Amino acid sequence: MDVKVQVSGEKATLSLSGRFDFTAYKEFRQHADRTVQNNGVTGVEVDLRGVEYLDSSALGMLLLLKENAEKSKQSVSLVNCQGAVRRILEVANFDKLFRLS
Amino acid sequence: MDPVVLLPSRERINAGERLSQPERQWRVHVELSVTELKSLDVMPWLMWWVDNIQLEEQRRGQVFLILSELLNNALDHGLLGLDSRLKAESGGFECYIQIRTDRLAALSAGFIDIEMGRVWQAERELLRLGVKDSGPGFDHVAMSQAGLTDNSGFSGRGLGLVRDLCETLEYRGNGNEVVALYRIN
Repeated sequence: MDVKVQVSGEKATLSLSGRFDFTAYKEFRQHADRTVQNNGVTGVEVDLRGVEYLDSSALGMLLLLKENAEKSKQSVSLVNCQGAVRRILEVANFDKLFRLS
Repeated sequence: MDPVVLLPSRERINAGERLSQPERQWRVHVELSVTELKSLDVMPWLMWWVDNIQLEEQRRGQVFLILSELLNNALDHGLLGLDSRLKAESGGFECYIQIRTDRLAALSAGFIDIEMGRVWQAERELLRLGVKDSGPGFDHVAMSQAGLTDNSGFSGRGLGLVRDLCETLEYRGNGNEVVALYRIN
């Protein structure tokens, strides 16, 4: 999976594309950690538009990000959730844990 | 042992065409030995079959999740003996991945059989997904229950999701065999 990070003011956007599964862990973790450690960032947006498939480990990774971000007093939202990805997030009750759009 | 793939017979794979019940449906049977488990990225391969039955995007994504969950469970818990509760601990995810990598590299015997096919049940068109591993079976009940009480959500959540998405999910044997029925139509 490809991860691109863009920081604009206090907002950081992590744009993911490809297969968000177990194999994406290292890449995701690297960028997520760097973002969370950035003191200038107060809001983290995860853009899922380019995500083709996701599995349960992806859900775990998003939860991990949320946990770490909250420790740094940052908010996390999931944006551009469409189709299959959106449906899975809803079934997993992620709409109760994250702001989804 | 090379993986064995049975190709569908002359009948066309066309999700739009309603085949009447008694007729033979397509089925794929894949056997993965240790060689493939260590080196092959299995999911894209399996998804190629799923993609060819032309499901709509949402269903494809759900099938990916179901298949990958069952396959990962077969490998992680069935063959490698990993405990998913480790993921819930602080720093556990990394630890889990490291142990998984090590154990997979050291795996010398074992197999995972995967079977996918279309079945009809009372006017419903279903995708039957079966995964069987050569391991001693794992306690899927305990794992599902762990998911309910574990707030970090790392363990057990996947199976809960699979149950929500499938018509039925059935464990057989000593827990080393699972069959999921997913509704296509």
